[in-house]
Amino acid sequence: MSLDLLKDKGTPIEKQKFTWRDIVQKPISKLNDDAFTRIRIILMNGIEHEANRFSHFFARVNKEMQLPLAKIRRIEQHQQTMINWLLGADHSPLETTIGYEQVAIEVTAAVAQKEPDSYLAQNYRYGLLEDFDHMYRYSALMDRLEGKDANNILQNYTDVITGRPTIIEHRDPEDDLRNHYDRKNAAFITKLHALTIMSGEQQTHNYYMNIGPLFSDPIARQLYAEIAHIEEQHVTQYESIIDPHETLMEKWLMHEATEIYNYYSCVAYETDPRIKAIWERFLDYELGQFQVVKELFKKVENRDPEEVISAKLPDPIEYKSQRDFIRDVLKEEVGFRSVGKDFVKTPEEESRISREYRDQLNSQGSPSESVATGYIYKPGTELNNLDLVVKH
Amino acid sequence: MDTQKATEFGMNRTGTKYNLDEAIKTAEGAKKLTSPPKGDGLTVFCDKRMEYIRESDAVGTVPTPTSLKGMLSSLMEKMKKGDHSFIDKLGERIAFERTGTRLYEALIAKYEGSADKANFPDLSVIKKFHHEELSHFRLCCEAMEEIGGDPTAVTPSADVAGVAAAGWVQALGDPRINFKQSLEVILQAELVDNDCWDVLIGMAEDLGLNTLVDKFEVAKIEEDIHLSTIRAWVKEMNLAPGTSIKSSEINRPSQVIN
Ligand SMILES: [Fe+2]
Ligand SMILES: [Fe+2]
Ligand SMILES: [Fe+2]
Ligand SMILES: [Fe+2]
Ligand SMILES: [Fe+2]
Ligand SMILES: [Fe+2]
Repeated sequence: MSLDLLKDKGTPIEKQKFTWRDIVQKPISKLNDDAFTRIRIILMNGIEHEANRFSHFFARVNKEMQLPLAKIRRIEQHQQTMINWLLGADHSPLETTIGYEQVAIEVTAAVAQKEPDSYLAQNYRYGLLEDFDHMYRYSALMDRLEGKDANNILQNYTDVITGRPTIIEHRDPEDDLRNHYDRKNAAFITKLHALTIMSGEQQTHNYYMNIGPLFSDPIARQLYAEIAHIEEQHVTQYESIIDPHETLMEKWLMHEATEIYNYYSCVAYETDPRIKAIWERFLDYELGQFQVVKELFKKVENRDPEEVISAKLPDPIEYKSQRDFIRDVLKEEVGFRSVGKDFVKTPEEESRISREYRDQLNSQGSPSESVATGYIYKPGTELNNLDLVVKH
Repeated sequence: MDTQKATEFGMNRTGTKYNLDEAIKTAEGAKKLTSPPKGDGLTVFCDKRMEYIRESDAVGTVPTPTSLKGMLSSLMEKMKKGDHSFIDKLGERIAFERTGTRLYEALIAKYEGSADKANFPDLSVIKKFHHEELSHFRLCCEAMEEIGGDPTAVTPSADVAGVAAAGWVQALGDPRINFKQSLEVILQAELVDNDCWDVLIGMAEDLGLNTLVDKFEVAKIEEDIHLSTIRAWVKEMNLAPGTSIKSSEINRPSQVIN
């Protein structure tokens, strides 16, 4: 399947219609569907969520664009709802959380390996090891609170091991900001990656902020408070790599392109035929939306859309287990710290300002340490004493 | 393994045996590469929980009766001493029976929506139970009125019962959870329902609320029938061949062995 962003018309936006019956479909099976199907659903919810949030921001600062933004935003709303509602209600909020961190780990790892800008690739690897540690902390919580095995969600694709410990991920905002790509010279894939990962982190932040208070146990409430804080840092970090000099029209065009690229990637890897049909339908919808925005862009900015995007899409995001890559990064870079916009290789080189910031925050105890005290992941939970994973 | 995964759709993927090679990597990696915070997890969990338990407020308080007219002196005396437990528990029954009514409505939809009703119990009996839950709710409301309480208020025990029942509501509402599975959830509710009536009747007896006790006893007899009936149905449906799990819900043997 090869697409041409400038030529493929997709579905005209007037024909992008929904009914409630259509929006609320059968959910996926937590037990039977491939974990990567859930990963794609979660990520696409995040992509649509960002499309929606960005569009609202744009509308607040630009009177002329309010109507076209509102028209397309309404479709994004329907798309996001249909996708997010695909998650079955038998997922506890904690199980869905495991899914969210699996997205952060597997998708960021895939992106890190394909990112041509070495500084940004380093940035992805850096963030990756933090979400990797979240997986370990949440798995401990799930085991000890609900008596459930995180691997029932992860389906053997993703490790549950300590990463850069969450307790030391807290740092001063000065050490969270990064250099941004240059909108004039950055590769198309670089821009697509940045917006994709930022969107994923933003929805994770948003999700934890919403579900944290649903938990009754104080340990869970504390852990969500702590990790939501890191996700806020991650959004800060990943949004700072996007060139802030892009015009809002340019950003809108990039948002539609990112949606196209992500649906295109989902179509390439989806194994559930019913879900694949949704990705295909929405890929066509996004192409239709892109055409509208492209024309607006030409009219308003009086320049060629190809200054911002390329007609040809890069290779799709790879949806497969990145275990080996992640273990390598873990081995080499777990001790890395960020100082200002740069990365240093040892904890000793970290800034005083971040150490002080974190010491104060952790001064009445650390939820992420408490929850995982003595915790080593084991198939069937830590209560299981059978050795279940040996070759017979 | 990946090719099999891509082509085989509709099998359970949750266990380690679904993909043993990868599961071994996960298990061994965790053992070798984890550096957990030092200490005993159980103790830390308990300590952290205690920290909050000690400084916690209650979920709320029992709403005090606005009118003491017609209230029995025994009840009045208890309340003067600050004991509002009867109102609290009566409030719980109101909430529980109301939710119970709704659970039966969801169960009836599961029944009606099932394509194959072979081995299903008698729908009219389910409808009768539904009606009885509703009448128990109304009976409890009247009782609350009689003793001067507020049947519309949420008492602390009602709140706790609502939190505990949330899973039943979630399960009954899920269209994927079939009639038999739903019936098993109802059995859980009826077990609790039954015991709670016992406690409430005991409390009413202690207070000498004799007319209420008589009415509650009638409800309790009905609840006994609910429990024994649902219990028997659950047993029958699990033992009757072919009703518990459809063959389409089982992994094919080759997949299990792999
Ligand atoms: Fe969209
Ligand atoms: Fe995370
Ligand atoms: Fe994150
Ligand atoms: Fe869009
Ligand atoms: Fe009842
Ligand atoms: Fe009952």
